[in-house]
Amino acid sequence: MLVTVGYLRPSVSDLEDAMSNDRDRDQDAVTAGDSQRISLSRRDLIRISGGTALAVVALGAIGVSGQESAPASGDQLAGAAGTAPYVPGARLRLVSNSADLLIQDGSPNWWLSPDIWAVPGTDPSGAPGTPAAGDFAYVWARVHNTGKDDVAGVQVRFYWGNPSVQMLYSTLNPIGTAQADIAAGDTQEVLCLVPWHVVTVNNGHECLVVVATLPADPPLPDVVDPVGYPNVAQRNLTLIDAEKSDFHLTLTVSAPPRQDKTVTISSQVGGRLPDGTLATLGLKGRRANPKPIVQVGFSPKPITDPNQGVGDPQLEISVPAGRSVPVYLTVRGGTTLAADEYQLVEVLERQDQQVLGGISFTVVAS
Amino acid sequence: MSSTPMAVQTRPFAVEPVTNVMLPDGVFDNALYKLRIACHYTNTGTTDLTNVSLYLESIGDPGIVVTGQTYTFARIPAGASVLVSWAADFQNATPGKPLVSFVAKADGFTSFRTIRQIFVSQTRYNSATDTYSITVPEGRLDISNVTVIPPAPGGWWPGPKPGGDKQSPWVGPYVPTGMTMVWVPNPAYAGIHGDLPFADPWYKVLAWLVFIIAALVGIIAAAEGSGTFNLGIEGTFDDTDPGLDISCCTPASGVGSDGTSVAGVAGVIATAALVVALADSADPYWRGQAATPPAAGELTTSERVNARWTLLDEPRAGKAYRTQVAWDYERTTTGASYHYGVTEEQTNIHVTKEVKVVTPDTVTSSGSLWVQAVFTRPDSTVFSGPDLYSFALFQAPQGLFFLVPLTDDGLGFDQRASDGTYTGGLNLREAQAVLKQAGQSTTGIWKVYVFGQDVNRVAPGTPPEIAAQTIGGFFVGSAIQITFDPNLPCPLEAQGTIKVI
Repeated sequence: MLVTVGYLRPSVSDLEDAMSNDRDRDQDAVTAGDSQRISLSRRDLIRISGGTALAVVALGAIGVSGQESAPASGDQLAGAAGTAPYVPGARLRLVSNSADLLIQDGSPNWWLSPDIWAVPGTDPSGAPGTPAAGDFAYVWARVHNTGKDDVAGVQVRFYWGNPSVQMLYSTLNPIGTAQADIAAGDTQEVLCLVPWHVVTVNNGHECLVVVATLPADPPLPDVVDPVGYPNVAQRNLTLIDAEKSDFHLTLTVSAPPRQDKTVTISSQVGGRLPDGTLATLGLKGRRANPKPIVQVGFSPKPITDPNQGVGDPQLEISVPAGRSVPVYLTVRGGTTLAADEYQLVEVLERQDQQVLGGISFTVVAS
Repeated sequence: MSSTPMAVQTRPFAVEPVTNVMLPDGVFDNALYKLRIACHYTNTGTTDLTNVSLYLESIGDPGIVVTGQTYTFARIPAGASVLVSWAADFQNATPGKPLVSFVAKADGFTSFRTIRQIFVSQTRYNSATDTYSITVPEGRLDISNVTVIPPAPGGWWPGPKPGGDKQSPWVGPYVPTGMTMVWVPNPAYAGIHGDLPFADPWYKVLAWLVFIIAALVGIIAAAEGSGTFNLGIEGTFDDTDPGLDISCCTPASGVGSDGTSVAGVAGVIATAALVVALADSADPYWRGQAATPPAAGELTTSERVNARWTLLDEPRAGKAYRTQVAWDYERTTTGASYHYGVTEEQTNIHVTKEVKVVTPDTVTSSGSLWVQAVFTRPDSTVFSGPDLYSFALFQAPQGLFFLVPLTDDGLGFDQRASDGTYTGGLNLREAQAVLKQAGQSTTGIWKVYVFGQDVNRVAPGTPPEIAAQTIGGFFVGSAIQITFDPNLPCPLEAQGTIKVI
């Protein structure tokens, strides 16, 4: 049973591949605590505004365990999303013909799809960037037809969600839909013209999910599964909150219904993002700062007074069966980052030395 | 590769699918659930394009549900504008100016996206107060005290109604002769002028839209029953002009149940008298506002216009008919009321000098009917390409109508793009099945009726008070005309006949 902030459980081969990629990527990572790395982490972006205030956000991926898939119901599930049983680690998408739709997952982190991006403001043709809470933004997706047939009438659905809770189509918030025609072997950028009214939930942590389907495609399970379904992708975004001096996030650690659980939460600082991902975050050209500049801490209680520090670098949490316990994360610092730099922060969750999941953040000076 | 040089250069417009008429200035209204989003898609390049596909990608209001459809063209000549449209359900649309994106792709080019705004309003009827209200983002226009020239006693007979009702006459056409309009700006504003509806058309266009919706609802109900329009909307007006003892013409004979386009055209032509009477250069609201500057610090909370007019000529489409109009404008502010009044004569400026129609004399039953139409302005220039939304009706010898679009795109029956000759055709082999099902014959004398509505081609970004002076949706050419002799039918004048052997 996967617990906590809830991550999509990948297949073993996925994990191995991704971990290998992570190792290559993170040669310069500075580890605080256990040096074990995981691929299934969420990645967030923290902006430091004015050199002192932390403006936050970015996204996180979210996932759920296979057994937590829910039956489909409700209008939000219309259009093939969420009406089929979930098959953990599914590798093949059932399709209606020989057209294959693909929205690329991020590499090595699938939740940072380079094929999904947002354009803040009122001009949908504007530059990609990070929308601020309260803003409007337009969402784009890049859909590939890797099959041998041209396709017309591809339906592309856009959602936003709160990545700290279980990601189900039935609980995602639909933004809008678009249509596309894509020739075999071709790629089409698709624009959703329903403006995304960016609201702040979960301290500004939100994610985008895009699904491309053909009318005759079989339905998807209710569980959002970008790894198992090439036509589904997820992208974490950054919401700017220039008023914040620290970045706070509440993590939820949950135990299975009939089993107590004890986990350890810790962090690692360092690493690099792919260039493509940096570009769609509006961070093109920035370089990773290899030195640990950002402070990360955890606390069982909210930290409201900056003089209290950021909390402990590592926290052990015991959760009774069927219960959930909050863990308060604080990220501080980064003001000494240069304008062309960023720093990655990874938050890891372990149980008996086994990594269950994680969250990643990107800290930049704005 | 460069981007496909295909673009939607002006605002897409609304077409009501039962009657096939364009709504005033192309505005969409959620009182009519089923509308088509139509536009002219132009090859802006200097060379012909091949294997062109066009589709509507997305729309900015999730309440508008578009039926996906891709148009493909083997070739689109350089400079040509093709007419395309998509079915959409506006029942849950929100009044506003949502964006719509279209994507074009031609061989040798990458896809190219055009993003345009459409205008969406919401019309409702309050039977308790006998008031129509039309809501747009900038405010609400309430219309009451409507007076009309009613249809002739006995009404029109467009054909059998759903449910076996073969006795009730069909409503309309009603020619408006007066009304009271109250504009409630959202929000109250300071200064002389408030925001125009959609920052574009004059306030009077909203009133025209209300009258047309009322007219179309009656037609749609007769043709298809209820369920596709807001149930609160009525298609009749009770108050006739007390100064008139005339009524409108009766329907032309031969208008069968497939003649809904004819009825729709009649409704648009009849109601256009309102727009003519209230002038295109500046409507009573704009002029009244200019003449009644409020005191400093005051906010305008409502504006009332009471307008009455007399038709000095019959309201014939495309003709410079005259109206004698008197209107009073009243501005109510947070501090005072201001008045301004005008009496004047206004003339229809949406006119043509000539509509020339060419058809073949004789066609074999295995061939195709075709028609060419040239609409000439008073200055002898011709409408061309996207200037017009045009269509023709081919009426079979036993009465069945076939509607075909008339285009100036250099495709199909049209020989050359943008030369001012709008052409359409009907393959008789394809029509034969329909005729056979109706028990009608292909051979005999076919009649041809031609219609054309002008399109608002004001470039996006034009200042509102300038853009407002251009109004689209007028019939500049019509085979049906309104007369005021109730003993005569509204003439449905065939502009051509074709003998099919």
